[in-house]
Amino acid sequence: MLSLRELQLAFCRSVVGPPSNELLSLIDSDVFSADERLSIYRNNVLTRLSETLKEAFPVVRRIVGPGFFDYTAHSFIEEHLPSEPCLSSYGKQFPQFLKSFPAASELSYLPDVAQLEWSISQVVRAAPEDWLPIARLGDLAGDPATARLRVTPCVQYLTSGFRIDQIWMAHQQEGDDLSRWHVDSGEAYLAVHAGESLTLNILPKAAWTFRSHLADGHALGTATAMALVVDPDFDIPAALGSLFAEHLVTAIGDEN
Amino acid sequence: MLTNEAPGMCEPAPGVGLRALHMEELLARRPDVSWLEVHPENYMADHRAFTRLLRVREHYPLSFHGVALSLGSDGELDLGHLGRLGELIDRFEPFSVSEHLSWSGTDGSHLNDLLPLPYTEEALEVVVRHVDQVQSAIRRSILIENPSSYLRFKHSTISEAEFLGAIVHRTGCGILCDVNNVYVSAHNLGADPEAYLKTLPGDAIREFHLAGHSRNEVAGISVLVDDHASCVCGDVWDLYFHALNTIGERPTLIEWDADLPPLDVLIGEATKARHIAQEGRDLRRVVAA
Repeated sequence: MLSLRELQLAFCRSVVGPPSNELLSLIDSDVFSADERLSIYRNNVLTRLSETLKEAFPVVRRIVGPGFFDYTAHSFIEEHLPSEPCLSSYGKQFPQFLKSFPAASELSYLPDVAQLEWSISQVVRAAPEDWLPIARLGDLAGDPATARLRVTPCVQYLTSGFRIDQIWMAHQQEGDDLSRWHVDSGEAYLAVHAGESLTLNILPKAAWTFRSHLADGHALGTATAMALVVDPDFDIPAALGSLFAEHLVTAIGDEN
Repeated sequence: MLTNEAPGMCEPAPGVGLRALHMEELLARRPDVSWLEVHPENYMADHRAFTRLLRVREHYPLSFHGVALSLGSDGELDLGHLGRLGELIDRFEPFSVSEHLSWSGTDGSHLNDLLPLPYTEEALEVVVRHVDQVQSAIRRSILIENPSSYLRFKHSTISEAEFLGAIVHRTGCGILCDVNNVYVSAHNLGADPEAYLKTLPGDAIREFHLAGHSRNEVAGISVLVDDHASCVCGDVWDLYFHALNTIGERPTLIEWDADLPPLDVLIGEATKARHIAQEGRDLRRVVAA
């Protein structure tokens, strides 16, 4: 006889893998076998988790088609059951999974499109924070280079070797076809921002480097240095000015 | 914000489950619906949904119907989740908080489904401990809903209805009787739905749920799946009518979670529930006379 804990562990394993014989021996069978009864739960779980992924990655689904998406989603679910009670964070690892999913390897831009969709889902749900005026920089007691500027959680920065913003735009409706759109080749340094509406902005590489380092929690001096590596002529005062003017800074703190 | 009074228990008007798709329309039209039920999990990590729900709450009483506490999981409750639930309860003041007689995961893996328990002394201890813990944390009693079942464990020592009664007895919680689930489980397990209702402690039932299910064929035999994706079927309306006449009227909710119809279809189902309750009242009056 399995303890409750053993039964539940066996049940979890049996949903994403072959059914446990010990578990099956505990399930009443009559007109249906124990495995047929267990498979109803297996199907319900897979359907629910697939639906969650489908809602989070509609553009990826349009690109690959519903059948291939379901196959990909099931493969993902087998490796990644949700780690939290709520499904709001389920799918975070899906872009990374796509990178190593052999069946999707021909669509090399697909993981980045998935990452863009994940970022969009996060910024639109994020709680906006009050922004600070640039004058607050004057309140800093210590060296400004060690200051950390908190960037609003309503923006995320991501980069790709493809114009994923255009690919995303080209697949907003069912049946959209890339051939109807002009998709530039080349890299994208992208800011995904949920303000009054959602915007996807391509930034100059140095500005992207500056902002993404700040958003990742690096000190102002580090973000500036990294931007200057990209572009020795990077205009730091102008970059700081536009960061505040766009209401992106929500807190200023010294390093410690 | 409206007060958190439950719909009246004498002639309780039906409510509907609120899903994101209907929120803006509901706020724009403010249809005559007595109360709304939400899954609190949908408002824990989505600020946009949270602020819209605050607007909804200004106009409608709410109930919270949780799906993720996993009361039947061996081990500890997720205290972070319980804390977030408590914060939402403080903010929205729902008139009712309910969860399910089920488990959803164990050891850090969550299947996000309402999974079946063996009805044993060991499982009872786990559920009772968790219900006590939740009620203590949120400082109020909760309702436990009977699940839809597709299997039965051989080593269960009592029936599900008796198991629910034991939880009520030991924790003081109430029961949310999902009439559709009673029907679905009885069909799938070859049981008698009216006998199930009779076994439940009627005084502890504080709410009814109604929903649609789908009928699927496995090897030529039908299985009912509780998918909340269609109108309430005739047999479930009949069972609801039976429940009204044997248990009494309770606040009743129309659930619809997938393939969402226009809001008016949901409201139409709630109106039908209201009419059936009226028919029950008329019938009881005639019988009493």
